[in-house]
Amino acid sequence: MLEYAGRRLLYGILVLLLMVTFVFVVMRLVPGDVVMLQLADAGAVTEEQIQAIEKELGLDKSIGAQLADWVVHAMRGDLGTSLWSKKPVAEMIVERLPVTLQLTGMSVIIAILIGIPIGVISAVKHNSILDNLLRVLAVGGLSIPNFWLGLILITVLSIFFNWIPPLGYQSFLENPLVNLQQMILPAIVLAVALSASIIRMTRSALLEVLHSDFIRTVRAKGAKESLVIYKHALRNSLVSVITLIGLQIGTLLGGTVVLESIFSLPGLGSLIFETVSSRDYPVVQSTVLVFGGMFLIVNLIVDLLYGWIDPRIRNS
Amino acid sequence: MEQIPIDSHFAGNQTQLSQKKLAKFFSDCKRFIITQPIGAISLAFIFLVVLVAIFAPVIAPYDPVAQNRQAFLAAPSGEHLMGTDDLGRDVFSRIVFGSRISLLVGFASVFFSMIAGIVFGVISGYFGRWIDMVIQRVMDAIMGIPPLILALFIAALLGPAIRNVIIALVIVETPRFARIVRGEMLRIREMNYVEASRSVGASVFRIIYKHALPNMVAPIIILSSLAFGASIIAEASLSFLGIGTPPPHPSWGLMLSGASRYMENAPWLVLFPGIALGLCVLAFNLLGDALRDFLDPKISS
Amino acid sequence: MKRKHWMAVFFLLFGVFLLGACSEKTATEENGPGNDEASDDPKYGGTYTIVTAADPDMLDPHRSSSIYTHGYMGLVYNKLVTYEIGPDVDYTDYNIVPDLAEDWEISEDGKVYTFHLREAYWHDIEPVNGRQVAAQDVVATMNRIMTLPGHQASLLQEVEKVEAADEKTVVFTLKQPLMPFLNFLANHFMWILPQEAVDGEIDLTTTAIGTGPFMLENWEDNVKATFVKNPNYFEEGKPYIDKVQYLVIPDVGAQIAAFRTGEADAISLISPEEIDNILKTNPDTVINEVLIPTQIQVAMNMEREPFDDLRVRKAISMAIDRKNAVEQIFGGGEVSAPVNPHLSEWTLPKEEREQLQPYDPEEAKKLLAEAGYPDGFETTIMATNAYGEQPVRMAQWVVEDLRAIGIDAELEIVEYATFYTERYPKKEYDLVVTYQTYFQEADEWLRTQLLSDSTRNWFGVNDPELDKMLNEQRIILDEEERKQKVYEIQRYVLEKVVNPIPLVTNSVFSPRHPYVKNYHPHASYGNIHMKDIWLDKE
Repeated sequence: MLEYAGRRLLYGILVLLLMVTFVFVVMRLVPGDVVMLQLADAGAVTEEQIQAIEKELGLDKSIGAQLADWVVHAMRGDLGTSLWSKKPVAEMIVERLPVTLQLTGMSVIIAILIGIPIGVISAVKHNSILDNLLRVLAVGGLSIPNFWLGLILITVLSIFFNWIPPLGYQSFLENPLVNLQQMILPAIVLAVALSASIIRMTRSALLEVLHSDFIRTVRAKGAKESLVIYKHALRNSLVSVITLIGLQIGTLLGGTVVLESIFSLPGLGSLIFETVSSRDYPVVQSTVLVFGGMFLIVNLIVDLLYGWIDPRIRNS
Repeated sequence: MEQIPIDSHFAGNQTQLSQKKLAKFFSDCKRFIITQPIGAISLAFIFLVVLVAIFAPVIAPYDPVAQNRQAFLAAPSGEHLMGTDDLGRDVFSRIVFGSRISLLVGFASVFFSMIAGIVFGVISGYFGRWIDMVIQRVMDAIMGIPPLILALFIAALLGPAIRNVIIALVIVETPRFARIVRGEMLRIREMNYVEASRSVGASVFRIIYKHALPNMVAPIIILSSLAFGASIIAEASLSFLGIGTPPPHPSWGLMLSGASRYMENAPWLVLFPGIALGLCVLAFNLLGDALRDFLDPKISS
Repeated sequence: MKRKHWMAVFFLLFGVFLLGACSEKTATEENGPGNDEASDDPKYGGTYTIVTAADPDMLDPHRSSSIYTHGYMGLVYNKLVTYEIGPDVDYTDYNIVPDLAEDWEISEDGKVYTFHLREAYWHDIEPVNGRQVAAQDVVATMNRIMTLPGHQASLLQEVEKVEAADEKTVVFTLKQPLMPFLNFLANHFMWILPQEAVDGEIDLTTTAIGTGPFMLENWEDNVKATFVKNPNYFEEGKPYIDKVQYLVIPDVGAQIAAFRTGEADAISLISPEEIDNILKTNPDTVINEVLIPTQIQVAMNMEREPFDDLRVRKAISMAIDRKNAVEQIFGGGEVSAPVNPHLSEWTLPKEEREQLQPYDPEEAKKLLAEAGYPDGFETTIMATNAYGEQPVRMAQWVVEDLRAIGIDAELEIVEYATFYTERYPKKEYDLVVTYQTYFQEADEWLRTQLLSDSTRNWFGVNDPELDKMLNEQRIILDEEERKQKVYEIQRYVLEKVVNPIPLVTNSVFSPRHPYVKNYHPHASYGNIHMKDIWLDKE
């Protein structure tokens, strides 16, 4: 098990390395140059000024050397400094990361809390009117663009209920109450699509299990219906829900960008957005790296959870 | 949609065979409509959207970019079915023309990523060894970035243009197609009959064409349908963020992005494009589901 | 919700020179009840909370030209000289008054400026610990400004040397007389830093220690900034408020909600569409409407056909319906001139601006035909989305207007970095619709854009006669005479150059609650009015 996790982790690091190279190369290929951008305001620009800034920003070396430098430093935990604000990138990311993590985490929890019970109801009452209604809702939930839902929600609440999330982002540690009020709406909006998938997945997985010989046997032995569902069927369908979270985590992380913008949250997504147009290379690289890292770690955890839930996988 | 060219391709030079295939195709269609009514309705809806896009100039009462300076933010009326926007443009006409952008982005991104995916997948799966190794690691790296983040990164770098949105989405989608194709290639590589055909001197392309492609059709069609819906949403999201389709093009996402500040005074600006977008994506999602059930019954119960 | 401000945040700001869309200033015309009654005695205390769409990406006032940076730093720092503010002073009056310099003399040849510093103390924070301001601080600051790249260095390019004559006296020696020099020293880039900061003992990107009415207590990037009263501020009895707090809220809907619920005392900037919504629920809101200190322009690349033809440029100018755009796109403002209307004494009078730039599509068509384009032509209009939505809407407006005279222009939205480093400066465009950078002096507006060898002449304007006039105006010592020359140049530009075409200087609106008293902002960056504000609430 440990060896397996270790191997996966090592491989993940290789993927991250390639990811950074990809981002690095793409950024340098496109037009738009950070040095000229910084000098855009400066009346007459001399060649010396350009060189001075290039040197100051560490852009005077070859691209390969810059990449290698950055990677070597990154491995020691030094992600460089912003080309604009001169702040350490690691510090900028540490400021923003909690928002993204919390938003994603909360929406996963909300999605599970909504998705599994509805999925179970749908499966137990399958083919009833209720089941059909819930299924339609689920597909609908998958298709609503999250930014549209977010917009409508925040406007409706503010116009008709005169309620808005408290202003000025506060972290959970600073003020949990305010923080939760700020995060709950975007988390719900983000959770809609995932909970729709969970409903569908839970329903079909549960149906499959309920119709299997195994459950029939358990039932035949006279176990209570609810016990059969909760104890056995649900446990088995948990695997598919976890798979789903692994599959959807990318979509969730992407969705945070849009919701951060609508709900004014200072997260990682907006950081990427802000810094791409100013060509703040180290910040963009690091942010993409962190996103990739989160993606990777979640999938690793999902894999490990499989083993925990279903020992058969672990042994295979 | 992609089924037709590939199928007819296979019909090849033998007319007899192609007739048989055609007959099978029609019977498949019938079976699809009967077993997957929701999928069939979705397909019909998509077909309708395609028609709207093709005949947009006929359907739309106004030029979608023409500004009526006598009617800014006019409420829906007989003259302007869905009202006008902040520059006096007819919202209904913009939504009608907007279907072209959604379909264009969806189609182009799926088409090009499918082609690229097949090329990389085949190369990777056929040659194996270090070529496979390199291609797969690059694909893994791309897939390791959350899709919208990657699209955002590329689109923001390149600037707002429909072409750039398509480029961004192709980069996002290609690895997903490549993975399916590669898997299929690896599977048939192991098979004896491929070894046999190779030993009798069959060309690489012939082997791929004969043995690999037919098996890939179903998963590719399913993935295409889902990717199509995802691309439409991605285009809208990027446009909403201001880095997708540029003004004055009537992209649904862009219309929403500009409209949000009129929410209190002109809610029709937010309502209609959102509904158009939601319905379109819903149709592709439902179709994708139905195709999966239909083509690959063992996946779902 | 989002959008325009949203963009503001994300693009604008992170870039360098933003401006326009976000002037943080407020004020000449008051609309609504509840402004200051002079008889009221100022009350002390309270926290003044302002919501803003974005905040700086760094605090260093000599490295950043962002309005957000200067908006914050004006609370913390002082300049040698500044602009007068008060109930009888217009938002756009640029009257020089003492700041850190108590008084000054100018030598007869106009080349030597001697400043005497007042008794002022740095904030009582490590490492300066409240020591007295000395001439060396000023010298070090000026040398820093002159060596850092940026527009600000060009403001001091005529300075030969800066010396400390004694502890309290600073002497500037110029290479040649320069009429606008005091104005340049009052520019927002000229914040005076302590010597320690110049020497690197203070991290200027994230902290600020100055002499100003407020001390930076805390800055959380993208969240909020808090400033507390400086008890040792050199103006007796000021500031009145204990605390100034900026909350960063990019979303317009959320901004308004914050204002409605009283969480915020003011919004730094709001779009005209939102004003009615606010007044509906808060009828006693005071709305300040002011002209932004820059303008949106159409520039044509004169190195490309057919824009080398004056008739074509005139036709384009005549085709654009500026007056309607002012209302429809911006919800208020004025038709512009080569010198921005916020410089009210230097720009052409309003009637003349409108009369010299008529809207006349028929005449425009005739001019096009004369130039050999009876059926118009195809071209491309470039714009960037970096300044929010309004410039992009204005660009669409121009496209439509040009279509009416037969010019088929396609709109191309270009990504910010590419726009500013590749396309615009390298003249890779046909037409461009965008905001100009914020300039504070008639001299900047004219020379920077129109001088044939200016580094910011990105339009291909090359007119020897104009060059001559541009160089003459800046050494005319009599102000009235210089003003006439500046008028003459503007008339010449509107008749004979017609590039860039000044379109609109739009209004910006900022609402505040009626209990915010003694509110007299100024068009320059830096919120220099904050020290006067007091809050009439319990």
